[in-house]
Amino acid sequence: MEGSGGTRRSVCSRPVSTPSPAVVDRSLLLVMEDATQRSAFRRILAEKGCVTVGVDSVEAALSTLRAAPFDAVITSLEFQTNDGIDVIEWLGRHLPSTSVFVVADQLSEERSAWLEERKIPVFSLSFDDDQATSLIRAVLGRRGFFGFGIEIELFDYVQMVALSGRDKLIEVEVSSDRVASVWFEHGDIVHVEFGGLKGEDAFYAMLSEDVGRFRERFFVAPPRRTVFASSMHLLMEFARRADEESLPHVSTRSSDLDHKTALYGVGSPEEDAEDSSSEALREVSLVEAASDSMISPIVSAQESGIYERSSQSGPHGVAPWSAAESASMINPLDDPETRRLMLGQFFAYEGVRGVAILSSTGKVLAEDLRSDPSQVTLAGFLMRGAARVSRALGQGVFDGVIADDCEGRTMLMVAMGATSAVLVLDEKADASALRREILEDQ
Amino acid sequence: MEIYRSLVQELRTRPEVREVIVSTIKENSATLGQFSSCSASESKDIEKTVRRMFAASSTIGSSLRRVTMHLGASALVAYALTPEENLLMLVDGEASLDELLPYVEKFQAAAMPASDG
Repeated sequence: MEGSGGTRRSVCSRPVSTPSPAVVDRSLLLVMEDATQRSAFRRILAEKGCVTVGVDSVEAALSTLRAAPFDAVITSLEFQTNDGIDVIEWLGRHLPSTSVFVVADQLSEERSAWLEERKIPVFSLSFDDDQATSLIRAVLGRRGFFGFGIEIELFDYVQMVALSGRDKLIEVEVSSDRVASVWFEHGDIVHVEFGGLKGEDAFYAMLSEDVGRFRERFFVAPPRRTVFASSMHLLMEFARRADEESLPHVSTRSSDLDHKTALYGVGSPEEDAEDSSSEALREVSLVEAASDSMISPIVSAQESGIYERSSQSGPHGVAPWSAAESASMINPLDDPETRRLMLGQFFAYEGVRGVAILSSTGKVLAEDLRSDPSQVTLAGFLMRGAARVSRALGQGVFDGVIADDCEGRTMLMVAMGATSAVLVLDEKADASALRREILEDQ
Repeated sequence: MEIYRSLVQELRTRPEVREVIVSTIKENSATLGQFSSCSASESKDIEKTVRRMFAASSTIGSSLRRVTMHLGASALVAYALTPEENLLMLVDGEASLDELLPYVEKFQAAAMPASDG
């Protein structure tokens, strides 16, 4: 593929080794206009056993990269008609897992900062054996199997990154002018930006769009950390919020974004009813949305007027459910002592290790689980799912769920009028007997 | 699915057991049974809801093996046989699940035959 007769657009035709870079390990693409420089690099790298392909222009580089992936690309930045940065940006958009190195003796401060931010190593033009060794080590250091152009659903991807513990930056394009950026560090989502929102709300708002394409980008460290929950928790929380139809939304035109309405949508019941967010649950493979409150006689706290939506944002920009300012709308569970007493009555039962009180929509009113807090999110799912099952079976009554996990733990959920109690039990507790006891005591 | 057919029939002989269903998401494999008190689509909806309960628990790393939903005079008990197959039993509210356990274990054994090793 080496340049022939100085034709700039031709893809170089004399690769150092014969095997195709598509099938040969540790293949390198050299993108340098100067044939002498290119030859020097190729000679040294060939001595190290690398398969190299040389091209003399940005256009030729992109054509070659479109035809076959390489393990690494070494590019200069200076070309007569183009900028080597174009190669790097193209790799960032299309093949972000490909290692990239820059060859340059002099760089402006701006370029140095740009390369440093992307952690792209820079070699001098006097490429020597030591630099070659360093490069080879970097390229050879990449172990495992890598795929290119793979289709994967976003939820699977998030779970996959969580398992792999990698640092990633992805951009999710939900429409031509609205793109969400999601940063992963050590497998967990640490920062999300979308439509003027940041943090968890940006993530939920992006997911609630329910359609989009995403691709990896060269990893650039997140500008800040706005997400602290695990990726798994975020997926569960998204499904819960979809269930409650309380997902944040952003305007279709970011310039129209009104943060108050953006956080919860415009809010009219008719518009809420048309919200397709519950459709996303099918993709998440989580519990089907229960469109109304739980089985009678449970009345949601929200419907009963105990709560109203606050116009003030919470720590992550979420407008929390909060006690209304009016004295007639005081939530008794806002009082720590009341919460303590409510939770305490359940700890009095034998075998209870943790307690949470949920509203009929699954909102946590008070909790002291003392173990895995994600259990309460699961409890909300199970309660809503059981209510749905009860309706489908025409039972009209639903008074509790017992969930036994594979590790011998049991979670008991008991419906109690407008609220439900979630109890995490120890291994000795008899959940059925405890459920009966609680119902009798009530 | 066929491996469960005789087990379903056996379980249905128990007086406290009202309905037995083995649901699946396997391709080209139909669910065994249907809830008689509701339509086919509602029955499918119940299967799907239960499936999602198990999926949700796996998502947070706390896989459930059994979910018991108390519905007044009856209870729906769901077991995860495999990641793709669930056993659903509608039983009397006061039924002893311990007494039904040997039947369930037969389903579990059929779902995951012992290895030769």
